[in-house]
Amino acid sequence: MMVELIQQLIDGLGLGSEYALLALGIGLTFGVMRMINFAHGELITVSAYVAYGLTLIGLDWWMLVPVIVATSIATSVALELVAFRWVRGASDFAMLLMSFGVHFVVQAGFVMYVSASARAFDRPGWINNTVSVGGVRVEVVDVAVIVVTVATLLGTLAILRRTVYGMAIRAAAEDFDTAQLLGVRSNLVIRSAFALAGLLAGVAAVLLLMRTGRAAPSAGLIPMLKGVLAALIGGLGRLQGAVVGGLVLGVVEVQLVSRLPDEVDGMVNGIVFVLIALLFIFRPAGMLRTAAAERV
Amino acid sequence: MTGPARRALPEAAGRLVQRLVPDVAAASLLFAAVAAVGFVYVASVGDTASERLFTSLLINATVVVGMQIFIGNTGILSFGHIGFGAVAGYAFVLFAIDTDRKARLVPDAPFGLVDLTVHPAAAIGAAVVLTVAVAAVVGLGLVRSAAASGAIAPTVITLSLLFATFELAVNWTDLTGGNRAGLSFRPGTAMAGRGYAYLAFALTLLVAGLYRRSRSARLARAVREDGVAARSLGIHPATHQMWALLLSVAVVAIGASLRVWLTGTISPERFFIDYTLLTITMLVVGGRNSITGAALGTVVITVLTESARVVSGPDVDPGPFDLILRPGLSDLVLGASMLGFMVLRPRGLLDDWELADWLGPRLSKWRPLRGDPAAAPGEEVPVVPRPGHTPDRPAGARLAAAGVTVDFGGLRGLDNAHILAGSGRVVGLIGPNGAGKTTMLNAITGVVGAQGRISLEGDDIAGLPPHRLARRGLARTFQNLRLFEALSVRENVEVAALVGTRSARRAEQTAAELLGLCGIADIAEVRARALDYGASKRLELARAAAQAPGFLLLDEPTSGFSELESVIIVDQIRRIADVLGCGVVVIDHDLAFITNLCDRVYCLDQGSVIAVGSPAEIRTHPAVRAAYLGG
Repeated sequence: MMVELIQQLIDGLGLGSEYALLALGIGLTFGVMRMINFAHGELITVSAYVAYGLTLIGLDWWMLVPVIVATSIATSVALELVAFRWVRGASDFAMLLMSFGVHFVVQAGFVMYVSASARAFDRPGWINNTVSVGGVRVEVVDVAVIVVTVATLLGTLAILRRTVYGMAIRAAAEDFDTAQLLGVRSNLVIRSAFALAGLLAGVAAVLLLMRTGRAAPSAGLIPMLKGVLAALIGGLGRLQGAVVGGLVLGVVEVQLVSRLPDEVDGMVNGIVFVLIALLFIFRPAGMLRTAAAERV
Repeated sequence: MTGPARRALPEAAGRLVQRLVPDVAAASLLFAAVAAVGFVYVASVGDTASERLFTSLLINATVVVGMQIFIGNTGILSFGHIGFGAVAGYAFVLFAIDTDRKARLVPDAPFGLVDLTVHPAAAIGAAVVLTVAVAAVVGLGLVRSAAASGAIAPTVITLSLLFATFELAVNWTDLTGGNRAGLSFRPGTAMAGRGYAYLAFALTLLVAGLYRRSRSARLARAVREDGVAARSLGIHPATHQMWALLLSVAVVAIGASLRVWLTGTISPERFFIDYTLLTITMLVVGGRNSITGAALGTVVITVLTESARVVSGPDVDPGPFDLILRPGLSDLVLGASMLGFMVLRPRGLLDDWELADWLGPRLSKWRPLRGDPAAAPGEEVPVVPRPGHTPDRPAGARLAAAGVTVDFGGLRGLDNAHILAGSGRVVGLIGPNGAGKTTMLNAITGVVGAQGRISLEGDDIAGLPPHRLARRGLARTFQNLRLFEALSVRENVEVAALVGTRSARRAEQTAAELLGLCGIADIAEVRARALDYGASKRLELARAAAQAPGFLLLDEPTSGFSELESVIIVDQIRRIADVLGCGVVVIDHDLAFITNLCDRVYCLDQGSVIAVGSPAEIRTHPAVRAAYLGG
């Protein structure tokens, strides 16, 4: 029983780590732009097609990693340059729909120039290996995911706390207008945030694609949604909250999969969405945050 | 109807008909325009495909106008309406297809559905009832979260529900036939109900237009513009957002059922994210705040995507444009239109231009009953703007707060402060910045939580939410203006008056009178967002007065004013107080202003009351001098 629980916890944290990486990126860009980026999943979609293309020409998975991460960063910054910069300071409505639109344009691009159907590529050979630690059978990939995530998050934290860019991003996340008045350069801050979000999404993409080995025009949709939800669960704009939200979401999801009877197995996502809807009904500002009073 | 016959109608009914004329005319005209475009198109192409396309345009327009009812009036972006559409679509198909077919497609369907079949029109009715019931439950949560967090949580909730509905449809195969097979009518029955598509679109335009004119919709739009200000006018946001949601979902349910009927089939994918994108793009491209815009957007986007589909289809030789003219182009066009509009024209083609508003003044020229019905002869027009919810206010009403303490985290905003105001008197609240003046107002009006006793006419009102306090006769203005920016000056004041009365005519009278009193009658039709600072302040005063309050709480009414303007506004405040017979609490830090206006002055410093007295006493009070001059 105990063993099973630990195993589920590890599974859940593994899954939650990916959500946390995405949620943190979404939280970062929300911080500097006040925009929920519904196009964040496109970083995964683009990465997936790059991975597909590179495995076609026979590149090894280890070589793929840096390329995927670099692609994700470049895509993130590029989307900011061609799309999001035009709606800076616009209404919530315009920004939400802008990112929603970007998602569909990218998706349509892949349908037009690659294929509407999914493409599979090889996963790394060790992906299904397990090791046994004190009776707990642990998938190597879960350990890898958790280790990589922790390292990435610590690295991100270090960037945010120790570097000038990081400080500027944090200041802007708190109060963008004031930060600008104090001389923080908005272009630099916003682009740094998008680059950092791209880096985190790139790592998440690597971890995700190792498991799925699949590229499809809508590959990023569900991961994006989970990331957005995780960021909201943790309280938008609170960076640690995003990480906690991702981990909680992952653990809850794995618990649901193992607890629910087999007939409703396919419903896990549906149930998660209903639970999240319920959470926001009772805690509209997320799990952690007490609503900040508005100045009147 | 001839003039005499019209006059023979009872006065009230005549006025009602007159009010509805522009909306009915606009709905008819809009329907005729869309139908004309369709007939020309179908006649010139002349095949079944073109007829099918036009019918689907009508259905999409029904769905989009249905979404406009909620999104436009509440300003809440919902991604979930197509999820409601899925519920309706499945309900419809399960009631409507014949039992043989059901026995084959979903033999294990629960609730005895296999043995049940009704006429499709009745099935639409059943689907609407069921979907609206679902929406009522969902809506309870939705409006709750909207109240607390503005637009973001409801958007995410609705998106989650869209996905949840999709997952349910995919997985509950006993009921839905799952993702592969889906559910369908007997082949050859598609397009059987196309007459209903015309009917549905016409009725939708009419219903949306009439709803838009209604009190509930106007109050919902006030909440859309500024939730805090709306609440302190006494508007309960959830009520009006809920009505908008239910009506909107009912219309979308009709559209969704027709969509299933006309195409003869339903599967989870057909009511999921792609259709959500299509309908939302149609809405925002046309202008989400306008019914006319929703209809226009549907036509424009249909033309764009269909053209893209044709030129990228197999019948056109792409030639040198091979790179662009390929399958998927119409989706690209759709996404790109969304992007383009968000960048260049985020409020859509028409913004909130409405055909009915444009027609109104033009139609009134040849109406049998000329002029403003409000000014009809022989009718007593009340001079005092008092829309009636507190008719028997006692002359000696009192607003009292004592022992009020407010903590902001570790910071004490108010410390055991007190204030007493009576009707017919003007009480001033002065003090240096950060003294707690606005906090006192916020505590009294329920905007911040406070400890202490706060009573109005002897009743304990501490802890009541702002909208209930407003209905008990507290009206306030804000230090940082909170106007309903997209509404006109007149509408801003009318909305406030509408909270207390159900009579649109009385609200109009009240508004007209107050606009005159505050000196802004000449700019009545200007949008609030276009006003300069001084006019905005006057408008806020007029809006607060339109609530016919027992007490008017004014937060720095002269800040940013020149001396001359201050003198004018002092005069206006006094006149309003006289006309309403209300008490006034006014915050300021300009001693001269306070002296001219107030009967009694409280001085706050660091959260505590340090002096109370007549203006003359306060000016010479040593503690006040110390607080102001640091002496």
